[in-house]
Amino acid sequence: MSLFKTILIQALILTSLANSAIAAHLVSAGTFVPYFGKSQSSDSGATTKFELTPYVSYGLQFHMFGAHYFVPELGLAYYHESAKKTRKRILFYHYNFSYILNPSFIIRYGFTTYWQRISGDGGSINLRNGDSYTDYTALSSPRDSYYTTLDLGGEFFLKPNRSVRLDFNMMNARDLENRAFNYILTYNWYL
Amino acid sequence: MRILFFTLVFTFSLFASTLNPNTGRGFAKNEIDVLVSLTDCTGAGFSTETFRDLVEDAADDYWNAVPTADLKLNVKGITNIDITGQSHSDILNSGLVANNTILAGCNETFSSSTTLGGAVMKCNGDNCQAVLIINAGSESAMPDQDRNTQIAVIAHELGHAIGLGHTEISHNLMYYSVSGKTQTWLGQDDIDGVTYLYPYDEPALGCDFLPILGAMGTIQDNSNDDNDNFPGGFMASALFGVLLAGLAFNSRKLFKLFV
Repeated sequence: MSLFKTILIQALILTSLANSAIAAHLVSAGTFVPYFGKSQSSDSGATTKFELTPYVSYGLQFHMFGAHYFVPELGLAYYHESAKKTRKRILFYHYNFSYILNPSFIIRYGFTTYWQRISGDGGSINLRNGDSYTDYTALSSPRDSYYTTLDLGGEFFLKPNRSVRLDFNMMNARDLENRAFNYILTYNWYL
Repeated sequence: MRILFFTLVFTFSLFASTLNPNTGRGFAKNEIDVLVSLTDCTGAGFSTETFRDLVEDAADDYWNAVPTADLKLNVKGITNIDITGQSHSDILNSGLVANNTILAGCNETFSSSTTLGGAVMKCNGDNCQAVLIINAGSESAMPDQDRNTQIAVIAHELGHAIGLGHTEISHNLMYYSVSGKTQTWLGQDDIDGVTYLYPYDEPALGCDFLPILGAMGTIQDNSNDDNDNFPGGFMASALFGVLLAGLAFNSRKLFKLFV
């Protein structure tokens, strides 16, 4: 898509959203847990239930009608660089809607597009291979992949403008057998 | 602020997946055929027919089950190709294996009885083939393994056949050894490695008509990136624009939050 077309569509979206009042700005920080219960985390066969992967996001809350809001957010999950210089970053484009069930609880639903980048410094890594060691090719040029999840979550308000949120992101929505979930647990500030 | 500090300090560190040293890449296509050789697997503790079932379970339980990776290993029937007495390189150099195909079989060419199997991949341009051999020698330790471990061993070799190397973290499937552990799932290194080689490339829910979903399932190698479009399609850039505008309108409030 040409840059001109992109700017034009953005302008149209911004113009349409200008008619909706921005109810609040939203800043969140917490942790992102991928493949909940579906990736191995120990030699005994236990799976990942929780881990601390820093996640931060910024979003806007637009009033739609009644108790319904549109809450677009841009998030980032950051992984520490490994000793082998492999890097991973995930940028999240959340297109979620929220419904205020009562003053202390919000239901959230929608979808998220993940932009995941994995890269490395190239070269080789010497690793055990049977009874000897082999130089394996390290990851090099950055590669981006995109995938979309269906989201469902809830948000509990501790104070009028402070909340804790748990969002589940469902991958492979159509495939019952290979369906997997990520979750994001955050503390949120409404401004 | 304290939460931000906490999450930045006590973080989950990424380890490292690696690639097959023979090729340093994956297959050019995301759908790969897996053929089973008509060879005697008795020394490995199972019949050729059972071996075919184990290969299918290994493909489906591990590599075909990664939601972020667009990889489909199609395990076909038993083929008449006989690999008895032939090494990996003999088979690959003989032209027995078709392009975009993995040939799996058993034979007795391993020098060590503790080696349960091996796989070698070869690429010439976009044409790649791989051979996976399970040790069926008289001293092979494969018959001593339970079915779950046998599937994990075959899945590990399939990992090499699709382009992955080893990892240094023991709970990952691509660790060099299966002894002393129960392998049931892929580890995060395995998932990252296969996603790096074969990224998910299917619009969610089949909603191809939605530009945001249709535009997302692509891989980009940015080493030679001359495309100035914002990655992720126009909806993502629209969201970014909306948030940036909101940020600009209310930057003072945000500043107060962190100071």
